Parts: sequence; structure tokens; C-alpha cells
Amino acid sequence: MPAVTTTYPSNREVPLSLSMMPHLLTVLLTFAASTGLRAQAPAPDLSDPEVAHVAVTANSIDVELARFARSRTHNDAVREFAATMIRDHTAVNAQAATLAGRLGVTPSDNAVSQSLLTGAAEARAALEPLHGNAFDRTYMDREVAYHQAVLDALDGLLIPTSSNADLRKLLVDVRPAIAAHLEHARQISNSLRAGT
Amino acid sequence: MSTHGWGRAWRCLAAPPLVALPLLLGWGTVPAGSSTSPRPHVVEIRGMAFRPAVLEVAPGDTVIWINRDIVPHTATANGSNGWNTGILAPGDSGRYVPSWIGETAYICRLHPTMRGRVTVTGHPRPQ
Repeated sequence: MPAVTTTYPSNREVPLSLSMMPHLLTVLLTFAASTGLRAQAPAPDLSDPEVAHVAVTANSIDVELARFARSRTHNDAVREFAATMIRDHTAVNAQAATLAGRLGVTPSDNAVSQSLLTGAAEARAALEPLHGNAFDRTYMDREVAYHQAVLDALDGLLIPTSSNADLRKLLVDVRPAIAAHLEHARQISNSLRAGT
Repeated sequence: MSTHGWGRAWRCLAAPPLVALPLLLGWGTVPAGSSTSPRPHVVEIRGMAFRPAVLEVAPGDTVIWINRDIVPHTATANGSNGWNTGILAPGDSGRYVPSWIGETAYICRLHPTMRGRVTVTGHPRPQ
């Protein structure tokens, strides 16, 4: 995973230029394809309370799916991965709650958060009838796609959209964890496919 | 901070302010293996990485891991008989005092993509 070298100016200081829109649209469409975000949604211009809500929602979704995975899987690697997702995403949300309280910001529901929740419900429905290796592979594939999508959304939407320096720092600090989760998920997914 | 799974050589300590560490610990003043008194070595856990990832120490020195990340971590030696910090919450730290010569690879048990190595060389420093 390449290091982050991009700086993220506030959209209050430097508005998104037209030249950036195709990239942003690509990011959002990729995000849509892997998370259930609806493709017809326009590229959003999120406020800081909305960015915070998206971040908290994305963490909560992965915690809930990990809890389900822990109750269903019999694979040690998958169970440990799910435990890490619960631990890490809960920790991030605790930091987000602390920050929101300090800043006096109330996270605000929005279309991106709602699309994430719709995608999460669909993922849960797809996993519900599965057991054994089929469940493990589907769950880990979903985790690969989800963390890749969250990483893309951080880079292409959430970090550049946030104007508050503390909120942006939290998102930048979260990024390496998401990248590590993605790599870990890929390793387990590949191992499951190889039957090891 | 949890100390579960630690050997007797492990202890917890409150992390001192980072800015004070170089002076407090005498970073860069004494090479590993010299005959000065045992010294501490700090490994920061930051950005899902051990920094530095590779460390050379003398027997009796103290290796200190400080978790500067926003998620929990461990420093866990490879192998069933190795050392383990247990889970370090954000802001927590833990330490290990090696007493034998050798090289040990370690990982974060929660994030196996995070890897480090401690090499113990030379003779114990005089107390």
C-alpha cells in the first residue's frame, strides 16, 4: 500500500475543481459498486457533521457484520479477524465521539450514510444463508471490498471534504488502520481460496 | 493496560511525554553492546507500524513499546515460547528486558501485517 503523500486542502479554502470531478466520480462509483451506494447519487458535498456521520456509520457497519461473523464462523483466522474489526472500529468510533463532543458537532445523517446502511443490509442478507467455507469466503471477500471502498472514500471524498482540521486529522490517522485491515483481509481471503 | 500473558520481565509504565524521551532515554548517545549501564530503547507504534521496526540491543537493556495509534496493538514474539506485551490500548506502553543473545521476529497479533525484529547482541552491560 503506497504511503499517503497527498495533502488535503479544505473545501472551504480550495473548492473542488471541475478537473477533479471525474476522479471523484470514479471513486464514488467504485464505492457504490462494492458497498451498495447507489450509482445515481450525485457526488456529494458533505458538511463536517455529515462526514462524521458517514465515518461513524462505516465503522458501526463493520462492527455489526463482524459480530455476526464471529457467531457464525468456525475458522480461527476469520474469528480473530472479526474480533479485530470489532475492537478497532469500536475504538475509532470512540475517538470520533470524543472529538464530536469536544467540537460540539452532532453527526448528521445523509444520503451517503443511508446508502452504506442499505449496502450493509444487503451484505448481511447474502451471508445469512451461508455456512462453513462458503460463509468464510463470502465474508472475507466482502471485507476486502468494503475496506477498499472505505479507503477510496477516505481519499476521494471524506478527507478532502472535511474542513475541520481535527476531523481531517482523525480521518488521516484512521487511514493506515483501514489499509492494514484490507491487507489482512486479502491474506485470509487468499488463504481460504488456496485451502490453507 | 493489560499485562495478561507477560513474563516476569514485562512491566507496564506510564508513557512519558514524547518530547522528553530523547533526553530521558539518552537516544543516540550509546551504541548497543557498549559497556555502559543498561539502557532503554523505545519503539513507537504509529501508523500501523513499529518504528523502528528493527532494533539492536544488549542483554539487560529494556525495550519499550508505546502505542501512539488510535487502535489497540500488541508486540508478540513469533514462536510459542516467546514474549508478548498483551493488548496495548492507545496511549499504553509496555516493556521487555531480554536476557539472552539472539534475534526474535515479532508481530502485532491483532494486525499480522505489522512486523518487527529485536536483535540481542554483545555482553550484558554492567549495572
